[in-house]
Amino acid sequence: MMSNEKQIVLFSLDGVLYGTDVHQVREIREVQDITPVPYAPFYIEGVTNLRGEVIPVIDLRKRFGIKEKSRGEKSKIMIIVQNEDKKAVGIIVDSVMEVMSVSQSDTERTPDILTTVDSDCVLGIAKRGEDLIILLDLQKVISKKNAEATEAIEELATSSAESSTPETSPAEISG
Amino acid sequence: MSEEIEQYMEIFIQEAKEQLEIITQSLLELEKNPKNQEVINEIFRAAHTLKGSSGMMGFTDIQELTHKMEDVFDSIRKGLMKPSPDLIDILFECVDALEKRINHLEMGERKEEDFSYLVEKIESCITEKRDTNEEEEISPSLSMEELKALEAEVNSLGNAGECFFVTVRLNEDCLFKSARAYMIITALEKIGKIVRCFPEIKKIEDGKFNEATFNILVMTNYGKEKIEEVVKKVSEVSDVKIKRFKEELQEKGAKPIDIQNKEVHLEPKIEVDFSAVQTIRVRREELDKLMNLVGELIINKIQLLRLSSDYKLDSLKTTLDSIDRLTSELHNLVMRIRMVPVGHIFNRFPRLVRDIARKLGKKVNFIIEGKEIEVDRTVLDEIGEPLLHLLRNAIDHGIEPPEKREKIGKPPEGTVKLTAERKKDHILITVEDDGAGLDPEKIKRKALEKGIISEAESKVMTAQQLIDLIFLPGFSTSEKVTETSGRGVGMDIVKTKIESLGGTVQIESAVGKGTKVTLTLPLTLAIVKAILIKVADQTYAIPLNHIDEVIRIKKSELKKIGDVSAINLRGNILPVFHLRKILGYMDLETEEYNAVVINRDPINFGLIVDSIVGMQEIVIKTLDESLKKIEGIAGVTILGDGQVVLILDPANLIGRKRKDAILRILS
Repeated sequence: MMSNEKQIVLFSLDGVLYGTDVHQVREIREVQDITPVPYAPFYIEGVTNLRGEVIPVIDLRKRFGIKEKSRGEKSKIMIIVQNEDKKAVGIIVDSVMEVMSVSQSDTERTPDILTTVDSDCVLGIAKRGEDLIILLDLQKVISKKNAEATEAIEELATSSAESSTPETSPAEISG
Repeated sequence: MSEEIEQYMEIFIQEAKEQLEIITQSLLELEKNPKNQEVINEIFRAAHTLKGSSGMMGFTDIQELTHKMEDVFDSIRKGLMKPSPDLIDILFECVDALEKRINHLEMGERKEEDFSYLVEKIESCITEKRDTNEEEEISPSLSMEELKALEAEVNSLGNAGECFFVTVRLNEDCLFKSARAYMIITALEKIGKIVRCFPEIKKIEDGKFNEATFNILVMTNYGKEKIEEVVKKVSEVSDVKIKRFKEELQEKGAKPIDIQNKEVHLEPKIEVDFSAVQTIRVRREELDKLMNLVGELIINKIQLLRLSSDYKLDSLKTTLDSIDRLTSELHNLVMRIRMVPVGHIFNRFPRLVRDIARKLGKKVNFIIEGKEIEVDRTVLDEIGEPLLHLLRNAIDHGIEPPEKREKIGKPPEGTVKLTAERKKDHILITVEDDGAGLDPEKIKRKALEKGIISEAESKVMTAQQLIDLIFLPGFSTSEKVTETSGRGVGMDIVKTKIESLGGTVQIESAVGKGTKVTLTLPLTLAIVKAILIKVADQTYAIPLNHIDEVIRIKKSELKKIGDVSAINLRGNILPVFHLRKILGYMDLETEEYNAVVINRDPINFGLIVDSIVGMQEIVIKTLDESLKKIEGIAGVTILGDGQVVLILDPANLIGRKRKDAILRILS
């Protein structure tokens, strides 16, 4: 944050622009085959093969509690970042636009009103002309601590809405 | 200095752990054999070394505590104190505290601990303070002949300068004494010629030297001051004394001898042992990485084999065959490198057994056999906890109190035996005791009471079937819940853990004679043969050692028993579950199902799958941290075509409810 200019990778999710420090991004690639993992946390799409390494893939829409896209228009782009343990993790986003630089003077601190569970994932808000770009710390987004908190909230939400979802619970005895 | 400390930190931690291990082992021995002088000496040496090295690293807290411990050992050595069990308890407490401190250090925690409470405890035990500081003789005591021989040697060197006798004293607690000595010798060689060293140079070079003082006879054109300056440049030198060789001779009253009549060696022969190092240390992570790479290689090899057969590339065959052979050789070698003797964890048990026995007021003779048996590191990491559970059980539930044992004609001291042995591709670990044994009648009563079995069931169950009930969750036969065991979680956990490793647990027991628990474990976990199956368009792998056979089931054969479906397989009931349902998919509607029969105690069960793909070798990779906790998934593998496939752990996959349901129809 010391230097005036910062390079960010610009991507979008549900019509909103996000940016993440270019240093956090290992690569951007197409989503390959994803193997679903039963009983995995809801925001984990599954695992995939990244050149011989099996990495988890997180759906950022699910992680942020945005409704899923319909099956036909599922995103094909993921950003590969490193988590706290230096292991690669894939993050599915709607689209990746470009690498651009934002200057410090165009960046503002997160408004205090934005204090959700994930507010420490948001580094600030940058302006580009009319557009606003939410600057994210992707490493924090995928960190276990933050994700678990979200999961807990999600569980609360689903358990209260349980009766309306007739989905089979995996723990039930099968016949 | 601080940089140097950083550099030595790893060595210090390693050494401290070794010394603490020695102290632990020796204390146990000492308790059995209070008069064993050798053991006392060994403990004393270990404590002394630890004191020295911690002082050198500036850990005054450790230094102070070990110093006190050293005092105790010294008193024991001198016969002023007796190693009573109470005293040994305190000493163990110290060892525990030190171990904790060292572990903290390893994790980067540098904060000093307050050990004063332990120091006080020890002080109250020490009956007499030992007298310290006996001044030692500095220069080596050389006999007249030796001096004469030296003089001849010096004279033969002619006019290369004047000869000095240099006595160097290193700091008592200097860690690498021979390294320091060697540095001094090298430094002196730059200003003159080394005539002789005491002890010999070779000894110092080999690192076999660990005294604080040593002597060098050096011939140089420089004066005393220069020598002193050179020596003092090396750190950790506490004192240097320099004497002209002639003066030394005169003092000792030796007469100068005639050089012409003596045959002399012109140069002291320096022999250096250059024989190669036999072992090297490798970091665990690097070994894991190597294992992973070999795994990759095998995956690629399978892919190559597939391509060559798909495209009928016969010319590739010879090369592929040799790649095939080489990769399996490489694989075997890596697996061998990863093997570690079970002693690594077995050695921790004597201490734990002692503490448990003492706490429970029981007398136990603990025997370990087969320490040298080797097993893959990943297996070893996992079996410590289950084994501790079993040992606790043996002491708490097995071995009777000494008075009771005597009454029934057993020796008051019970025996607990921990054995490891290799059998083909498996290792067997047994925990055996000569205690009370498991009483099937008692288990039956308890099971009825808890509603685990029905009256009707209890009548037809064999003794062995009753004994096996203790593997059920929430089953504990101990009359009272104790601190060490009997919380009703033990055997269930042991079984789950061992099964997740692809192993099995067996219990044999005879009332009044004792109990024997046998764990059968695979030697390695990393690469296994597996059957690939398909469910809802996803491929999964099930390790072959879990599978008894592959069968087809007609829909009409499926019968309901309570809330479980089952079939009659050659006269036996086989509970059957739909893998689709377990994994959260919709049922498949068909007239005939494919199923795999999973072997599991107490009875096998079937898993209905969509289709069977085939059998192949797979490389087990661990899942990402965020997915590790999921029960029933043992890991993940990559197939030849790059597809990522989950490896199922069937025994834990079906979940508690289904396990209980199986047990309900077991009669």
